Amino acid sequence: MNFIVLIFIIISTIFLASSVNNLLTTNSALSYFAEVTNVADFFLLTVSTDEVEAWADSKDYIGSLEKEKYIILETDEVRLGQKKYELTMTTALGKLPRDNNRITDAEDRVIQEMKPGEIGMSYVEAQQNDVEIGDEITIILKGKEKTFKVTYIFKDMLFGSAYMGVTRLIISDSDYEYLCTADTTIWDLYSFTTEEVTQLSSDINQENFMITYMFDRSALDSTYLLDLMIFSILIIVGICLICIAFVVLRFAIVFTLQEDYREIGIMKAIGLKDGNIKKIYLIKYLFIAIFGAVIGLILSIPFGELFMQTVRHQIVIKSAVNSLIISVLCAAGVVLLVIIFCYFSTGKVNKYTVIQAIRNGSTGERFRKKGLLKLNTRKQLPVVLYLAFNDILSNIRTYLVLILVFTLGALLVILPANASNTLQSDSVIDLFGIISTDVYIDNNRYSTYAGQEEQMISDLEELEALYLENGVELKLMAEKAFVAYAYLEDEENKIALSCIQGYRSTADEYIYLDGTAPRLENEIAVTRNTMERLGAEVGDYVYIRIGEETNQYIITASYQTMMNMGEQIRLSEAVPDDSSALSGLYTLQGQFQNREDIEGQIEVLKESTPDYKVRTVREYTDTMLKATRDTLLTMKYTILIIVMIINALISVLMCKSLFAKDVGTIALMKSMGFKDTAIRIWQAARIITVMLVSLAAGILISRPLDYVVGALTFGIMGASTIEMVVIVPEVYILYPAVLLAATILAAGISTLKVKKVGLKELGNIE
Amino acid sequence: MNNVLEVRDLCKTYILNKRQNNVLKNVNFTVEEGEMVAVMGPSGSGKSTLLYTVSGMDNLTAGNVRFCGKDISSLGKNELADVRLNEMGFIFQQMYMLKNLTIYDNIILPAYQSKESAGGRAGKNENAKELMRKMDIIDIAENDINEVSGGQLQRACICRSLINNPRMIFADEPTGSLNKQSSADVMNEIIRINQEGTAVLLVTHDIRVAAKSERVLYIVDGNIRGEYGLGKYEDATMLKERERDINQWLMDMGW
Repeated sequence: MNFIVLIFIIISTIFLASSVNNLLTTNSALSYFAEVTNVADFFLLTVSTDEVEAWADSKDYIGSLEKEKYIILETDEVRLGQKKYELTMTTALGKLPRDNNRITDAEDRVIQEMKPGEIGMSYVEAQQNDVEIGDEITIILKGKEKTFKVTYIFKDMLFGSAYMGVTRLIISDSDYEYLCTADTTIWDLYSFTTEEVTQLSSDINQENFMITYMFDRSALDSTYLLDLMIFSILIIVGICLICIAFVVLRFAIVFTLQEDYREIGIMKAIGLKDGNIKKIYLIKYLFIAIFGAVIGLILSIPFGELFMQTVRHQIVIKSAVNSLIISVLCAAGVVLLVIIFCYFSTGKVNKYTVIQAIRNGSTGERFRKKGLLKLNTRKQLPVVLYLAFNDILSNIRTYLVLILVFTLGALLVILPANASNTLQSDSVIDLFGIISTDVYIDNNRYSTYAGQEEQMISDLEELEALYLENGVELKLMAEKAFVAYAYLEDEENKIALSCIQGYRSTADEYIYLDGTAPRLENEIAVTRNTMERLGAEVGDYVYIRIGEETNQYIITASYQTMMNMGEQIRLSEAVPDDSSALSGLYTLQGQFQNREDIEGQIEVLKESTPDYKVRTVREYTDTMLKATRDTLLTMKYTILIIVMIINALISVLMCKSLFAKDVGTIALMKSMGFKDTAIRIWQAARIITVMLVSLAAGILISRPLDYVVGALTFGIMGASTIEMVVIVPEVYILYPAVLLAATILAAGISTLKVKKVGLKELGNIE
Repeated sequence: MNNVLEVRDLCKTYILNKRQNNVLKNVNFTVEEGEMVAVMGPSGSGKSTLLYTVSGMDNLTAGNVRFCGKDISSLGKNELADVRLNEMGFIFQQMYMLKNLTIYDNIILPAYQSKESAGGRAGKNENAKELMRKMDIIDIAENDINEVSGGQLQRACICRSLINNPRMIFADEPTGSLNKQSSADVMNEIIRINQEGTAVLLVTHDIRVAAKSERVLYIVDGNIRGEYGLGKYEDATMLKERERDINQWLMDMGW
């Protein structure tokens, strides 16, 4: 038993130290990341111009301004070895940033130098194309070609998130100068340090810079929302693990001390004082606790990393200097807790008379019915199962603690699994503010339709005709994008926004959080983030300038999108758009008219247009969610394994504790002719029944809790209404079955000792 | 008369601290159907070990034990458990019962576990009630085991040992923890069971208990040193004389 207490002290220390560390580091992760990489306060991406610097000189509130130049790459300008390199977002090629917006290597060291021939990219970008260190990447730009070796897969706060919409490849200064020619597309990135972000934003909006992107630190932080979601799950997991560890630790100590009551009684009988008896146990547990805490402390480091490594690829997380101190404090806390538990458990002995202690706390006089079930009224129930159920009902308080622990474990498996499955599912497309269709097509020409609506329509019709020729009837739809400026009343406070309008889709086909779909010429839907920024509500009027025309619109609905940092406006189909203001396409998607053999039809599309990217919903969402999905999947299985091990250990602890108390009864049952197998079933059935009840409770409780977890996790992304996806066979059958199997196995092994019980143990019956 | 129990050259040895400890040495005896045999001897002589070894609850080192014609040393664990469940009954000095169960549920527990006893659960319940009536404990059927006296509890243990109609009762100091009156009541029940045809092998220190048996075996250092035949106990009128005879015999044996 002391060994089991030691095991749980180790587990408690591991959980407490790693979870507290993870809680603290994740809580400050983004600010620490920004601090290490020296990320500025405000960013402006423009088509190359020198106007901004001159303008900024006149603004006193701007602390510093740094300008970096980036070459914008097109799909056919990059190759990975001999393969095509897929650009899933705007890809900028630039020099190593030296002051603001720095990047770090895998070990969190700021990269100081890129040698000629070296190239680096963010973790998310590397994942999209399965790039590894040592791979070769070739850039072919306007007749110049250079092959690079991937030397860094770096952490980049500024352009490292999949939701930024922009990623960067970093090369040496000399290579950049070589590739940069007069006719390449150059963007300037201006990084401002200022405390007057709102003022700066407002002032920039008054100018006519050729703005591509403009955002501040808070908007940048919001691109890490999915990572924050993982942090939220980590926090929930950490709290649950700490609760489980402490409940079980207390349980184990109380059980172990109960075993010694008789011994304590004898010590009292021979004249030892209560204080002396307590000291014996306090010293004994102090040694066990220190030994366990030291081992737990050592093991907590790799255990904490197990979870953190999932986010560590992408984000710089605080070094372990503080974490060691925190871990030591946690370990000391566990030792203190063990001593407190032990002190209070031995405290009971003070109250007992000698004979009560010898009788394990029983006075010997008990006029209360203990058994709640009657064997003779349970006519169909096998005797051993009756004994098990009766034991549970007779000691319900003890078993309720176990049910609580196992239920927490079940929830720990079910809730992240449902969150993970929801993110893995196609329904996550709702988070992108677009409708779900069979395919999403990128014809590499989205941006070329700027001011060219007729060309776009003609291309779409041609594409449909081509597919039809090859036997596939596909209805193509598109989201047209416009650059818009919106303000509530004061034009000086206008903000630049992405504005979209469905082509061949109507506004009521989309999902809204509240209000009704815009239908009329003067109606629009606005994302929650945009409403917050404008200070508007559903029902308010806003002024929107698209192209040269400014009109007043009424907000009829709010919706959500993870794109464009959550800021967007949707026009109804009734709004006559200004073709010249079209900035390009936001998406091009299609729905098969023949619902048979969808996969086969997708293959035909891919063969018909081999240069286009034809993606399913899964593949399309993967372009932004792959890293998060992979992380959650790893977490899901890691948590399952951890809970399985904890449950097995608790089962062993329980079976051994119960066995120690029941050894006399087992001998008696043997004398009556009960077979070893029957006695083992009785012993194991209690813990298995508790597990079954806990799993059922976990499944039932998980339903309402799913919404809480959904609100905590997806809510961070503004997706307050996402329908949680529950894969019943996996989450409610397979995982509970796995947890149950671990418990049965542990109980089966623990009850093997029944075979060794002899008749001499009859003397141990209580 | 057929022998219910035949013990031939029974040896039982423990190895303790690398030293061989011969607890039973070439023990031979038989118990006939319906016979009641008492085993007496000083403390540590091997009485209880003998009882548990011949009942298959402990392993024997050498020799042969046949119970109802079955060589119990050749039976597997499960077969032995079946024999204990259906053909043997045990009464211990301490009134061992399962906690959390009522007196009644403790008594019917072996019956419900047995597949052999006839009549289904209804028949088993009727049998249990009948036994409890005979033992005069029917009023405490629904009581918790801590709510009754030692004598009542021991009578409940006897009921439990009889619930599957065993061929033989093994009793280890059945009155050892009881007061004089309860002791007498319990012994009367054991005698009644024996008179109804169930063989009894009991271990005792008490001459008054031994005087009610048919035969007394005296065991010292794992050897049966002597055997004294008293004849069937009929009634209390001869009890004093039987006690005197045993006493004399025991004195002769070095008691």
